Amino acid sequence: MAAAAAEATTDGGGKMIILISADGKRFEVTEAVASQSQLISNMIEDDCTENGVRLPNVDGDILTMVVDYCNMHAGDAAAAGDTMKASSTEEELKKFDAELVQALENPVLFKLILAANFLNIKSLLDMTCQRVADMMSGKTPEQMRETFSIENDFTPEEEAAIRQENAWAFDD
Amino acid sequence: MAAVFCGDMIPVELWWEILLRAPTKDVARSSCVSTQWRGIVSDPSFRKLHHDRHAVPNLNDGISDTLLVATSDVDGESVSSVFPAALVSPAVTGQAPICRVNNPYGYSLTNVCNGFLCFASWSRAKVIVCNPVTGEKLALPRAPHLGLEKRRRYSRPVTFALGYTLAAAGGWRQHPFPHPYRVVQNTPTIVVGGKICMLTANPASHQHPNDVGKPGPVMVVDVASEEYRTYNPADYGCLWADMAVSGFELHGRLCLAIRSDTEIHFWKMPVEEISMRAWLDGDTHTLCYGVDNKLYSRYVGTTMTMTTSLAARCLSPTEVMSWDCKIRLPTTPPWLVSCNWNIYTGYRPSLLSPLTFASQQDNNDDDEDEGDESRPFVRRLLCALRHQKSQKRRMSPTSTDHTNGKRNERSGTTDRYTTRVKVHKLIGASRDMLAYYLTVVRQKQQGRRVVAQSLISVSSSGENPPGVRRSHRRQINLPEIGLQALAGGIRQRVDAVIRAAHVANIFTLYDVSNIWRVPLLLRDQKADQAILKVLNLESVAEEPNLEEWMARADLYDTLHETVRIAMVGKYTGVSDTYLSVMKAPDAYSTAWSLLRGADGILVPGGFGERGVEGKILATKHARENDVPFLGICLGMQLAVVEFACHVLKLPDANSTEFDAKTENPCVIIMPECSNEGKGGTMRRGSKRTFFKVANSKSAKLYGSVNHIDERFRHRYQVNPNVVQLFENNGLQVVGTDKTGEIVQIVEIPNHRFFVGVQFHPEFMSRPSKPSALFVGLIAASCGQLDGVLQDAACNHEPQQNQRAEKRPAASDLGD
Repeated sequence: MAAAAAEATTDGGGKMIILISADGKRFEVTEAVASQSQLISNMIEDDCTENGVRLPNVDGDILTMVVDYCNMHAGDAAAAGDTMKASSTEEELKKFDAELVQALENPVLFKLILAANFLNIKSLLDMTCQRVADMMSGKTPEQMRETFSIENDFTPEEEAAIRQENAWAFDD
Repeated sequence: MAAVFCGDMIPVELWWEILLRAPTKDVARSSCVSTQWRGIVSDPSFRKLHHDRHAVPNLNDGISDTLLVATSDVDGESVSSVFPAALVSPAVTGQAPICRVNNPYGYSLTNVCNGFLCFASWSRAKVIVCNPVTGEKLALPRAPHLGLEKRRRYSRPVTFALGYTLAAAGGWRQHPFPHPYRVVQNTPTIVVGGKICMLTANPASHQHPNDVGKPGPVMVVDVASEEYRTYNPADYGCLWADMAVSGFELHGRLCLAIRSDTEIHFWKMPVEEISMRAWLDGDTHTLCYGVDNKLYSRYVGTTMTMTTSLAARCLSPTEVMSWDCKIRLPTTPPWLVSCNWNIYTGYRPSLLSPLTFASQQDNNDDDEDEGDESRPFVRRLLCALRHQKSQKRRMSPTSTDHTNGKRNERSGTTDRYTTRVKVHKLIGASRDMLAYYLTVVRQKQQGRRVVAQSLISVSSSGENPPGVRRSHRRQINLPEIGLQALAGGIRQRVDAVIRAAHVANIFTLYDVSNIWRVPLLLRDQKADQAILKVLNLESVAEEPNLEEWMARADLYDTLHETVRIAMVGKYTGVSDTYLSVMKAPDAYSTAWSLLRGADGILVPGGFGERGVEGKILATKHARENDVPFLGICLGMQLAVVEFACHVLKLPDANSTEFDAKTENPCVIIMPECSNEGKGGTMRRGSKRTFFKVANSKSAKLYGSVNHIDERFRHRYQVNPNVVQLFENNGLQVVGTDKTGEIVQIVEIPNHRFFVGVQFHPEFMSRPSKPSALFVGLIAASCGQLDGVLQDAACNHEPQQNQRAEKRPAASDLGD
């Protein structure tokens, strides 16, 4: 996947930027693709991407997804690899986005959120956060805790009181 | 990939982002999950943001709930029961009301908008806003300046202006609509698609206020454009006085339910097409309403209080009834006679407390209440903060140089990583404001880190000033890193005060042999690591390379010969402002002797007349006695004035800054500036200076380049008309801007070192690369100028050195 992404972008023209994940995987992307990340965009402006951008907070697997996402959204036809068709219309983008987040399991989804946050890619952060918010839909607090592995640190009395306060939300 | 996932992985600010995107109901439930989530959900600023995102109608998504509010009398009190009618999940049974509101005496519910219920009264001067979700109520004064008669006519629009003006701008905004119609009292006004629909009485029959006569046209008011249209009335078939009217918005259309003792009529108004329908089925006590192609029915029971269950069920398409403009129910259910009900669509539950509207009259920010005096201060700070946030900051090593004497100062380093807001010049009570400001910042900016820096003066009594102690007490949990200049005995006491903060993150700065040792002192206390840890940058940062720095610190300790540079300025009483303490302008004997004993003289920039005479005297002394001299900005302008006075023998030569009527203006205001208002009219920032004289001292010092870039900050310039006169008499203009109009460097070639510059070399001067002019001044002061000039000629230009130094620094950051 990583190789595919890098290979696909080499003929895209423009300056290439090398992203290096925490586990040392290298991704070569065009400046247009990389600058969707505000973090990297700032680095490009400050002219300090020459030796590759090391991203110590992002795993290779996650970075693969991020690079795929950025390639898709760069509006660069050449950026689409062989798994995707060359022209990425809006509908296809939506479909791609939906498939990307729907397929994710919890830990990966959250890692993707952290990566999007770190790299400051607003649209990806929006999308992934929305996905988590959607996962909350209709869940009881118990189910939410289970889904997101959150420890209940209320005393039973406290919890009962808060439930009482928000009784209207527990009707259905 | 980690096998075990833990909710702790996500920092609180990201949960904040996630919860912000969840619908209100899920958010309300999520507050029972953990204390962290509850903390987020109960934060007022979270609620405001969530409200803006979810509770304000958005034309793009059609999702909205419907509220059915039934008002009835219970034990003599009017009670409104608010039932959610979630159209998206019709097959729900056993719904309890969201809340029951005891209507204040004389008030009736007039509208639901943006998640709030609005109660208004004809006779009282207040409007009550209630959020059914939080149960909080707020009484708001009605818009002022409305006379009684006017109020009758306009109070409806005022009430409805709530949704537009109250939430958006804070406080009431008045929308007077002069029109010839009389709004019928006690009939609802309805908001449809942002427009207010009002029923009016027939204009011909308003003899008596209670005689509302025949129905008049429906008036539709567009609040935004302040226009209204009228639609001719349908033949309702009876007088207004005989019936009760409910109106509601049905999916963007106006619908009226007109009830008499015997019948209920539903009318769709020609305002727009109705796509949703509602009626009461009298036989089965069922409220029916249709949305798009679906029809819902809801059992409304037979009791007045309507506490029995309200169940909605979706009818099959075959049950959808076809109907005309009017549905006539055979009988009216008995409870309808005294129970008043209304349907409000477009309801979106909100968590926002109506109390946030309370102080908006005079406070556009959603700040908490606070003493009046601090508010402008805090607002200014927040504005600065917001401005900073919105502005994309580029890394700019000189951006901190533009301090302009205001109380706040912004500076940015690389976006995203760190943003610094510096608050300074705070004394006494201001410190408390600082503490308050920090609290506000904390609430608004999750993830912002606070560094407290305090100076504890070592007075002879060993007491630390009470202000410092108090500010620490106020900030007790706030700072994550404290930088303190402390003396030994005091440390324990302060430690005791701020023990609640992270003691490991308190660093002591005491006096050291030279200033270069300060960063090393911090490094020895591992302050760098603590800061990186707090900012979560440990993984990015590398070991600092301080070798050169340490060498310089050590070198400094071996230097023993002092070069005495006299600095002439009016702020010299404050040792921080200028380097050495000298009160020259008053020609005190001590000051004068200090000046005479100096190896070199520096006249820095400044504004204002005070001290000018003294600076001119000092310049004269330097020129006449061959003392090395460097004048910066105003210093250069005064050197020109001095030259005109004493060499050209023009006794009244002056700058128009100090003497507007002088006959020999040597320094004049620049054409592009105006001396009316001082703000924002300066020529400032980095500009290019072209050397005109290649063998001048300054050109040689800069490495014999054609031009240099230095930063400017001035409003006045040397009068171009007198330049030739100066040149003929020995004051050489060696550097100008590219037009040759603006004099930027002057020199006296016959002098050991007499240089005046319009720019500020100190702005670009760095420890590792001091400005060439400072090097020149000091070299000349200790008699080594020739050597330095030769070195500069050999070493090419220092500008290139600077770039060579900058490179590795930048790529360090990139890694």
